[in-house]
Amino acid sequence: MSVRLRLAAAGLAVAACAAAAQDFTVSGTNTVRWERYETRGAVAGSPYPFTTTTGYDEFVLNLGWQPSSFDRWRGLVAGVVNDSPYRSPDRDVVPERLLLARENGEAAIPYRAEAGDFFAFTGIRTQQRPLKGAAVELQPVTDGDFRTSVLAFAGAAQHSWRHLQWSDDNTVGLSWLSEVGKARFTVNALRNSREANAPEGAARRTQEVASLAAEAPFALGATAWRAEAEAATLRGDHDGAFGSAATVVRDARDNGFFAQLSGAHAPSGTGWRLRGERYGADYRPYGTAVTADRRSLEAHLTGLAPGGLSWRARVQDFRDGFEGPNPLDTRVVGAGLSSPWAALAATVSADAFRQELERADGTLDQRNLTANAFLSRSFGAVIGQLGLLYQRVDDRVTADASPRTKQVNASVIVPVAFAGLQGSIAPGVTWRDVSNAFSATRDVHATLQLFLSGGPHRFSLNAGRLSQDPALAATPDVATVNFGLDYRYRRGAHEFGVDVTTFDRRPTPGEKTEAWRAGLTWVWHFDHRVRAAPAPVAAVATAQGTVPRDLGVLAAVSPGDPFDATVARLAAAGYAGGANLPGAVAWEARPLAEIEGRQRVVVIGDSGRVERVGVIVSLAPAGGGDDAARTWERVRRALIERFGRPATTFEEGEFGANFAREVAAGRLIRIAEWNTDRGVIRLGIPRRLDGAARIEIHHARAFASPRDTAWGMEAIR
Amino acid sequence: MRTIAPALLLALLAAAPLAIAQEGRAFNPIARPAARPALPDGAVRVTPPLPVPRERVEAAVATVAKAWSDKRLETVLAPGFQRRAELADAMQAKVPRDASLRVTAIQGWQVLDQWRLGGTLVSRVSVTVRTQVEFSDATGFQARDGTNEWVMTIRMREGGP
Repeated sequence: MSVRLRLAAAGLAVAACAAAAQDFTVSGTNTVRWERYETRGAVAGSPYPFTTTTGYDEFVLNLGWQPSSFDRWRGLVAGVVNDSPYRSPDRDVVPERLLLARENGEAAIPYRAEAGDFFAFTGIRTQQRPLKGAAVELQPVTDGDFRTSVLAFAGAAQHSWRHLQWSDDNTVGLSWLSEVGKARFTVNALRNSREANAPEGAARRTQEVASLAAEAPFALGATAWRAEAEAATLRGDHDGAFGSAATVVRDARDNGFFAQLSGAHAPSGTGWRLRGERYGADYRPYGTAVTADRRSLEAHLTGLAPGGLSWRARVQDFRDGFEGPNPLDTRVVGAGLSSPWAALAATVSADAFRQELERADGTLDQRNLTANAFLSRSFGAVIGQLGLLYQRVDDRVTADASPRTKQVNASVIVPVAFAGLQGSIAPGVTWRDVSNAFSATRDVHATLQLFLSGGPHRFSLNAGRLSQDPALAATPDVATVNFGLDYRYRRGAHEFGVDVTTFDRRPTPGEKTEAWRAGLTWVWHFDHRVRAAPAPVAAVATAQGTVPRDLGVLAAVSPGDPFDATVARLAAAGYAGGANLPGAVAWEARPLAEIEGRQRVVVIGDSGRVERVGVIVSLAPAGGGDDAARTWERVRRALIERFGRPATTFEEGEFGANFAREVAAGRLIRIAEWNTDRGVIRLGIPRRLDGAARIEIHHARAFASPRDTAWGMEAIR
Repeated sequence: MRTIAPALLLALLAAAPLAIAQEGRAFNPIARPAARPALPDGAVRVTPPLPVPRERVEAAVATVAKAWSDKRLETVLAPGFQRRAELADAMQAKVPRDASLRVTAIQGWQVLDQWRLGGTLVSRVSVTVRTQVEFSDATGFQARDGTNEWVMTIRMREGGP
């Protein structure tokens, strides 16, 4: 055999796809869990209504095959062999997520096909939810200034494969997207069908939704702008204002409109956004997050100043029920800032908003004010944190119904290290005083958090006692004690865990509730790779360059980057005043410009390397009508816009008034994941030992299964 | 698996500090190969391509490394190599006289195109190579690591030894 060689190119950057070609990968986890739940006293107040000893075996199997750089297959099989009523309503073998996907750029028409659990996304006003079915995206024209994508899908909105009923709730959709130069045009058409629901007495409902959207960026001098608009129409049936099958509206026709003009002036660090929306009373597409019968106008202004100061201001005007005889007007004026405070070696963030609520018939007339501030200061290695909240409600209709809420929260984070373990201990106390004729109370909540990690060990502990002392004699005093600990030991591909959670509620007078849960967990992580070519060594270059101030920070910082250099990169990009926690740095920031709640960017290190980078989003109300469910939808949409449709999603349970408790009990799970060449970006609401619910977005090498909901940044309060 | 391409990551890195919010479905391009060049007269494309043995790739990489170290890289460059003269000037002007190129690892390779012509199997192969340039200067021994993608044409006589 003779070999003749010609070198055609040299010195090019490594092409990651070339190194990954011809891979067949099998990875996943198997989790065996034993658990005991017990409740004594009033079961109604317990997070664990079933007293039982139970368990399950949960498996997640990821398959990948890449016959060439432009042809990729992906498979996912996840399920559980179940005995636990807390894990799944079904016993025995329960398939939970199934997916087979292929992305082929070598076909005559490049396509992306998915069968199984996929995420249907045509826009926030038309369709945004996980479905079970199939989706195909074709990209027939991708050259030059004209690019086209055609997405077709059909799927059922169902939580369970075992009880899958196509006719219960299915959607068939078609979306045509074309980019001409920098302008983008989208046409969406969808049909949803819901079968007759005998127990609730509703007949079959069908609806068609169509929308036309356009957006275009442009520049005016030193300013960059983007104009967007969408008009949507619905024809058919819906479940009415209360979302109940008993209030079905037939043959409705209505429209939804959206327009937004946003811009930025990079030299001054200023950004702005003007937004208008109008959704008719009958514009209620299934699988969307729009609020029907609402008209809204919003103006937002944000800025960045040298030294790390970021500020924002907003004016919002909502009219709910505007097509009816008694609309509700909500006007919000708010402002906030976060900044390092060099003189105090501290970081401060503050936000205040004034809200006016008025009903046309005069039955509601309120002027509300909410202000909160947060201060974090280092005292050597110790960090002190102080939070203040003041809320005033002036009810001009109901006498003596104008509560004032004053809240002070103080905590210290003390680094601890012993026996090769590092971490922190954080005692804290919250004092809250609510003065009102009907619901006055004075509460004290003392907490203690401990977090330790080192080598194969990770340990978290949280203890808290909440004492509620209502002024009204008829309302019982309540003392609630929560305690939780979680220990994980990793040895090779195996992780062993012990967790205990206790709940003790004692009303005086009243029947007490004592509940606890204990569990033992064994997780086996497997990752098998078969290659036609030799496996590459770790050759990924350290990320360099400017770190964006938005969600791009998640991709700009990768797991495995040098920790100190990464912190320096963020500082150079304007992230200032970060709180240096043991093994982590947290900055007050606003990577999600359209979310009003408190946000932080966090980098966590391990052995001098970045273990994960994340964004934490508070779910506290911000006066704009966004509840936790809507905030979740907005955050997810922002990630979809940045990273495309998620590779996998997992949803269980529904948002409600007690969503934080549902998250803590593992009954409300929201997960969406995007794969990167360095790991996985996961969006979700993790379970925390302190019971707080917040949205977290992590970029890490890998995650446990979605059912292991204790994946949050426990050390970051 | 849905992987965010390196190009996208680079775009994110280069994003302006103030990103303008936007809504709606985005165009997420599917990676596709560049148009294949026309084959020589009489050639028949092999689809799917046959794997190229590891020893052939190693031998080809070693040949390139030796040509670089011997300062006769032009002997292995393809006739249509872009900026050929500029590369030759750089080899003369910028590369230390005693520098040698050592291959530390071949991370992987991929057959980009393949065809048969007159009993010879011709493969265009992309090879990811980790290298180390070694030389000595006034401060002593020096080494410079690098990761490169080399696109090679490897000819193998079918049925031969």
